[in-house]
Amino acid sequence: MNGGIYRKQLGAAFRLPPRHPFFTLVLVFSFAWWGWSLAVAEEPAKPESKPAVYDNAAALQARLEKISQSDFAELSSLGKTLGGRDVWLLTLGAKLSAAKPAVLLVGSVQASDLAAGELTLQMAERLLADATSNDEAAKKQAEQLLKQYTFYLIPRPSPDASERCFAELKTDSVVNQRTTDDDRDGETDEDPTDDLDANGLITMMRVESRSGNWILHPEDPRVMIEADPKKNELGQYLLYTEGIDNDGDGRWNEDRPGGIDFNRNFTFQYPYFEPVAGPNQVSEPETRAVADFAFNHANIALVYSFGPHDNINHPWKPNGNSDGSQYKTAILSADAPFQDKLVETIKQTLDLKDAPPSAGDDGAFAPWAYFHYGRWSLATRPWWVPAVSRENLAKALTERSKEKPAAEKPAEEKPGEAAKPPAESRGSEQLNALRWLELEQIAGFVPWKTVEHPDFPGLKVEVGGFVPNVLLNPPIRMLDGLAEKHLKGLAKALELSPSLMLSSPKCEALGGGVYRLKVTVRNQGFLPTMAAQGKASQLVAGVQIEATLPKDVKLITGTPRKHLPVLAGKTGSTEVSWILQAKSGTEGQIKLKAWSPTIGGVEEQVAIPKGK
Amino acid sequence: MNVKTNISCGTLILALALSPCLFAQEPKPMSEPAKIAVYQTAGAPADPKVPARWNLYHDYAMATELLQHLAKAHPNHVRLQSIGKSIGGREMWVATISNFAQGKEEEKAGMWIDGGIHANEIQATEVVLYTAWYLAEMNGRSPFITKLLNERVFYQLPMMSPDSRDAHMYKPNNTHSPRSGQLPVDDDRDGLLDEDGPDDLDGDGHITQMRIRDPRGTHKPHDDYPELMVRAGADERGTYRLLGTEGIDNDGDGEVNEDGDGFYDPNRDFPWNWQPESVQSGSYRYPLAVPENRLMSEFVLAHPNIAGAQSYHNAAGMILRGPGAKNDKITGSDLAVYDRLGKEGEQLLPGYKYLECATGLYEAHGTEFDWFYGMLGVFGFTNELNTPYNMFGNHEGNFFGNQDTLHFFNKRLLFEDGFIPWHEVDHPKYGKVEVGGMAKNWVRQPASFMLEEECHRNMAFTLYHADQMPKVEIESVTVRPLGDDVQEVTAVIANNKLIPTRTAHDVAKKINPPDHIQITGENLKVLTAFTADNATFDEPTEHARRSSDLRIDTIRRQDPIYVRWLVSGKAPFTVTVRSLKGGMVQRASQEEETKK
Repeated sequence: MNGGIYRKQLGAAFRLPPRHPFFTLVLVFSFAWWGWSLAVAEEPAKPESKPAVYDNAAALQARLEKISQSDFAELSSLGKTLGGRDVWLLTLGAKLSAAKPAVLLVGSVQASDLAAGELTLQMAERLLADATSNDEAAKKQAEQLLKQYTFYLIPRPSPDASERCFAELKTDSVVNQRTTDDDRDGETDEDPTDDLDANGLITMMRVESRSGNWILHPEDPRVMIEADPKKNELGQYLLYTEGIDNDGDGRWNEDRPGGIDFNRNFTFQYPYFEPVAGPNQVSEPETRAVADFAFNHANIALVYSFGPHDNINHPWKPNGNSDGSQYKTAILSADAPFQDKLVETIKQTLDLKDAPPSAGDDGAFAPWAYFHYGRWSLATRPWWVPAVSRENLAKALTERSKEKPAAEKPAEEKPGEAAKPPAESRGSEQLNALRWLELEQIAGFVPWKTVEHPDFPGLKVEVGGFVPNVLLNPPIRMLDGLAEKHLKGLAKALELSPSLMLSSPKCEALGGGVYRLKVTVRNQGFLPTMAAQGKASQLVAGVQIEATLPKDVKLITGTPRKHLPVLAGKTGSTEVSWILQAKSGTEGQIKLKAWSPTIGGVEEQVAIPKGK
Repeated sequence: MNVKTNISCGTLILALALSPCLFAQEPKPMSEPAKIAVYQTAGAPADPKVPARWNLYHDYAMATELLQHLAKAHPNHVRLQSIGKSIGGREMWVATISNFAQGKEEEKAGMWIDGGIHANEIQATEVVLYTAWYLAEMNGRSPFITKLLNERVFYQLPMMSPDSRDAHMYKPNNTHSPRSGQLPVDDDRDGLLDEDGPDDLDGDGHITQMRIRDPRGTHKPHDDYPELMVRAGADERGTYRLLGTEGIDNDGDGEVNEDGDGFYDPNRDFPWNWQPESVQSGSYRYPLAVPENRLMSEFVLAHPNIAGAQSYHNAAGMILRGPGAKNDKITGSDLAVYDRLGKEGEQLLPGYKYLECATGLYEAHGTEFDWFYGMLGVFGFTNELNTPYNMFGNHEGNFFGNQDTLHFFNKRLLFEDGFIPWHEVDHPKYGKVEVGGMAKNWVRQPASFMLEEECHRNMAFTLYHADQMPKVEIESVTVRPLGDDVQEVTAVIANNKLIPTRTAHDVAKKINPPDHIQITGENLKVLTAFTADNATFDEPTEHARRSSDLRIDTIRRQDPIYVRWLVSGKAPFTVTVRSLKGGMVQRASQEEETKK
């Protein structure tokens, strides 16, 4: 294949020098900040090999190298990013082979979601640990998985963008290092966010002004909600991200450093002209590396990914209009029941509540894997802020104050109010997040503080808000148990895979050295041999059958190899027959083999009957 | 090379124009007429620096040599570069043609011209080569071409798919192949790549048809053209059965010729409205996954001065524009521009029709012209070369004419050079069969004597398009004192070309940055600025922000921009207009206007 050559040329055209001063800066400061930020939240370290803080690129590589010392693991690079970082691929399996059906497991598709990559790695570590564990049940499951499947893991598909989490200045950026002209004014990256309060965090900025559309939440003035003219509300604030109008165009922070979002750069429902989507689909080295890897591996049957797209908790719904259109935007009706069963199986194992709604399809990875790559695609957030009611928070705070009398007193609540459903639905997510932060004693909200602002002379400007990514990447201990659950769910889902069987193979003598060879190929698994969308995509290899004949046996009809139709789950079968001619007295075995790269193969031997 | 005979056309015309005056001054009879070295054919040089023939097809090596000769012979006007190698290791040549001594390249509107993305459509490349040759050789001879090269820059990629071009010429193929590039693809998804293409059973380099004698067959020879197989009538028995395209089941799966070159369609590989294989046949993996296209796209993106685009294809005589998909459309006022260009093309190209792809030909997603228009803000055309109209001056038949006209043409004009006569070969499955059929070098491609006309007329259309690319002008800059050291500076900015500096679609989607109009001067202080679409500044728009360097969405021929600044400072003031696609122009306010 020529993918390699082609990537090299592109790399040369776009890549920054690997020793760009920016990266050095990032590395120097990254540990310092995490130390500070998570120290607040971190309980005493648990006696486990899991890291206390999220891995930066160097730590990730070291951890991957350690994992790959296992006999069941192999580490390779899918290519380099503009920043010169490797897109790591970890391959797991008893025999590392492209001949086995495979699962592609992708971590941080939203680059700032470090928890996603962490969970992916923990799944790998768990699986490998189980394979050598004393727990017989766990060992059996792990061995079975590693024997039957190959697991391709890409924990951090957009490493340059993820590395921004470790920059000195914390932002919620998810983009890579390509310089872009987001506001299409001919200048690139000229209006970044600015750390007005010099706390190393880019939060929000509110300006007291009648021309704004925002008001304070009636229950908690930390939370901003949009004024509703229909409720006779008058806006009191302008709301922006923290920064100044560096390019004097009347817009704030609209052309920030970088870049392209991996999770907006795929072909399905591509958001043309959206700044972070790139000059075109699959434009970035890391996107191409991941897509080409997928296209080059015919054995991938299932894609499992962690990110804001969640069809495990919010399964895709079919839709007649989409079914009838050449442009599919909803899961095909023919595929929906199978997705539902896969999802139900996994959900039972995960047993998680209150999943936030799924993010949009636009250029995202997970829907691409189904709609344009033709594979079963399952995706969910690795973690989300749990629901914390006011009641539960109050209870917990009371408990805590009993334990530690010196602790701060919680905000007073009027009796009875806690039980009431909140009157205001706007901002409820933020209020819940604030309660969670308080419950967990995480300093994740920067109180609003007045600052001087050159763009708003004479107006009151305050800076404050949630610490970037604090609601995405919890203390790592909060991921405990999730890797086991996802592994178990995945194993259960894989039990639904199609499974081929060669039923009643027979070689029947018709006289005069003429024989009829006949076999029925069955699919005994729950899933069909490929999704309807897989068939439509023309990317998924179907089932083939091949008869290997002994010497001196000729085919009178048919060809040695045949392509078979899609076989439905459980009931699907197809009969194949050949007419053969052999010299009289020929003996021997005919080998029959049916296989598909996404399913695996089965073989049977049939003896040529003697005599006649 | 003809060094002695470089009397240019221009000089000749000048000499002839002056000659009556010469007679008037010197009444004595002319003993010797001015020596004319060569009799010039109108429209092209008879004595070019780089001799070239336009009744033959250039393979990759010949095309490379021609381009290298042009660059060497015209160093101030032709620059040749490779933008990378094809997957087969061939150079992707781009010829940049302009008057390099005049203006900066990036400040001239660029015309992109390519050919042969479908490599079997071989005359496409010839039109691009001809255009390069013609521009280089006619510079200095034709005032129009000279002006064009002073004002514009041409970027020409004659072979978008050079590997497949040579594959068409030197490997077994037919007039329709290979449309794909040479990147192997597992078309039948059996784990093997390109393992079952057609087979040249007779080894003549042409993939034709197979037939077998069969007294109960379905086909029989045509009455007038016996080489042509026609279906036997309901009341008669045929004498032959057709066995499809020359080939065998190489991979033993029961299917014949199902996994040959590629397959992907390199012209379904572009990002605007790209759709996967389930919707658009041939679209491959994702946009610009075809290596040669990616190289081309990198060049185009690095040259944002490109303001016009033309691709050549075949066949059937069409001037196509997007959209390729029925759910897409051309934005607002852009349609009138497209129509005006396309209608001009219909006049220059008899037999050609100007059509919208989706409604006039077929739905096609991810084509080049849609990328140019949809994502780069550039009017792009695809010309489908070789109309069957050229055979006998009528539109009979389909894209390629009909069987009768083709065989009549073959008989009377090609003297049967266009058909491989049926002859017997051995086939591993069928035994003795006959192969024969249309040769690979025509049907889609014009015959030798028609090629030059095809090149010239299509080039003429593209040069018209190139001439109509935007070009900003400052028509006047006047200064009027308003008292108290305040002056009013008024400039009229125009673009007298058909194509606006930014298309309506570009403005709507903010594809390219806006045009800039800047004022500079000694001790200049700009109080504010206004623009209007009329000279009397009725309903002006104030540019309170960045008023000394204001931004304009677009400059269209029908809508000059009137700009007015209120300033203090010392005249003259200089107004500079910068447009990514419309060029750069500067003008100082004039003294006498200042005094008014």
